[in-house]
Amino acid sequence: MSAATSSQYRRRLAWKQPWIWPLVGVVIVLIITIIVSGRSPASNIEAALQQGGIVVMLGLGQMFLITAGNGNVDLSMPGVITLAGFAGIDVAANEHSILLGLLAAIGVGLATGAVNVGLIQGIGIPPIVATLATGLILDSVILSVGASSAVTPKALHSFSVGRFLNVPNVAWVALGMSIIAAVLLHKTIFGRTVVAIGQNRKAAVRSGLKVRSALMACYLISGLCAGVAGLLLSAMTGASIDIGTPFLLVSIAVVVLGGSRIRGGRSNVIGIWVGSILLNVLLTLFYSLHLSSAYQYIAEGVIVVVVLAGAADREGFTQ
Amino acid sequence: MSERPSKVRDRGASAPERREPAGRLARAAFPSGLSGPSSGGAVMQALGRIDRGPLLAVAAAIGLYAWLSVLEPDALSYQGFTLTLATTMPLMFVAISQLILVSLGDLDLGNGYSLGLANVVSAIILPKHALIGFGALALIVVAYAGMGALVQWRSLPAIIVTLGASFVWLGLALLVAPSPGGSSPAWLTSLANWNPPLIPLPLLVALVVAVLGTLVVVRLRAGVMLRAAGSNPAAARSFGISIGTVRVLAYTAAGLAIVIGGLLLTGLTQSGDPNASGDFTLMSVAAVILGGAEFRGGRTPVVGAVFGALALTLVSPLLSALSVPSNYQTGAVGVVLVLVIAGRRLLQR
Repeated sequence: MSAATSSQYRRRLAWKQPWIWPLVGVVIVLIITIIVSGRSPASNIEAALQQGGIVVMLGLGQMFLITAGNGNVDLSMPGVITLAGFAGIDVAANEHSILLGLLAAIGVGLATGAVNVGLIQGIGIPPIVATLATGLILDSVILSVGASSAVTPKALHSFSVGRFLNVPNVAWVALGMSIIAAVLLHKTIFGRTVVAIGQNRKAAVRSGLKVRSALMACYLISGLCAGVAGLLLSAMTGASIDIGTPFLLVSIAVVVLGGSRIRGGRSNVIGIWVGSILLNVLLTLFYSLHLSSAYQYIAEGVIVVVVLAGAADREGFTQ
Repeated sequence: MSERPSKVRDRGASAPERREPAGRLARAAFPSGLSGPSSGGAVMQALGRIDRGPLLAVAAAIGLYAWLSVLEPDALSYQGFTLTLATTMPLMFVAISQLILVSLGDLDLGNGYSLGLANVVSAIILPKHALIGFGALALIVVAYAGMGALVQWRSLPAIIVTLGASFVWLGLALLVAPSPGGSSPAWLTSLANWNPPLIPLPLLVALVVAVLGTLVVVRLRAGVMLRAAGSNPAAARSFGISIGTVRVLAYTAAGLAIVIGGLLLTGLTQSGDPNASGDFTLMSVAAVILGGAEFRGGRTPVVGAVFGALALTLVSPLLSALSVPSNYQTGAVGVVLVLVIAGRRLLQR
């Protein structure tokens, strides 16, 4: 076979997809699960989708920012998750309306996103520091309001842990958000602008794209995703002060695992699903083996670094 | 702007065939401006080259301390100073570690947890098996060197490598110490609580780190290479500097600073806690930014990072003295950070 045809042939193969190695990882973990437990891994997959749905929503938010490159990232996400959980559940319980609760949670996210944009575009603070500062401020707000938390309304709790067609409701919500995100990213001028900014910001500005408003929208989207995820997460387990903390690392990790280019300019929505399912089937496996969470952390960290190192050749991370 | 070292050109031009392009390359590597050689001794020369960036952190630290002293006159005593600022020592070293990476254009999003690992290793293993303990601490340094190599030779973004590594640090720390506990070796306790004559220990450490660090960065070949590699890697490379070597050495130094910080933390708290030091990551970023470093690299304001750490440590006792509920303390750090950068941006205009 000549070199040309072989490369054409390769291009058609699924394993050229950037998320193929994480997918292989999922299969390996599931095989280990079957061997170890001797049962079908269906319940593990379901548990992974429950928690994974939340992670997907967060990953989508980070994906828009990471795709826009230039150091854009949302470090205030854990704060939004936690505060949106408190606010959403509080409003839902007091006003007896889940819709109002959802609006409150989204409001927290959008407000935080707006503050982030103000700091970044208004004052010129680098995104990492700006969102870090907003996150610190949110932590204080959470500590002040956290003492007065309402009981999660029953309907909201049973929705958040419920299933439809054997798939957790949370995963359906995440699927809906993923489809919207994919359409936004691939089919709209806004999406193309975000990708263009990530590939070459100067060129995007010169070609007359609305760079500033696109970036603004990215931060608002990130806040919105974190708000929805925060409400559902808190509805699942009850709002608590540090519920969002573990999700910062994970939200960025799934974007990278899924094959989005970490320096921006290329993104992959399906990859976010594969990445978050990988991390969560692993978590469930470790849980069913009664292993300490220590091993789970080590495995997650090693996976992120190894997948990244393996992907580097094709991805061309250098600028 | 800052006076950039004539020394750089001298060293770079030491090989005769490089003499001609050296000046041009030095200008390319240090775009922030060059001027004639400064006179005076080594320290004065070093001081002359400090840019205005760190001044803000120094002013913030002094200003906050003055404010605190007005509210709590005891803070001005030797013992008051030591008590108020003791906790700054670990943060100072974590900030230095962060600064080394930031000056290369990298960022360590896991140093809170690597500090936690150094903390539990020195609190759990070190008191019982000194040799194994030191071996484990050395392995942390080796792991940092490994991260540097990975970032360099696989062209990986440092943020994600250090983020992934932070999971590993936390996991290892939890294996060593599933729950907080342990104790500090006697020598470490007395070292971290040493009362030197006249100057309180935190201030002494701050001054020594600031002066030594600045001298290393400005005078030593390693420091010059670090700044060149961070400022303009392409120019530095054509200058004969191996970016890979610089990065691995820089990560090694960063790991060493983390281990020192972890030892000091153990000496001060007398125990190891895998989860207690997660906040150090964000605080170290804040300290470095307060100190005048820039994310795109090339700037190494050691004085700024040290005093940035001091200033951030002061926020908490100051708010206590003002009887602000402790809930607002982390938020205050965020507000300070925003105000500082906003102020700096306004001054630059």
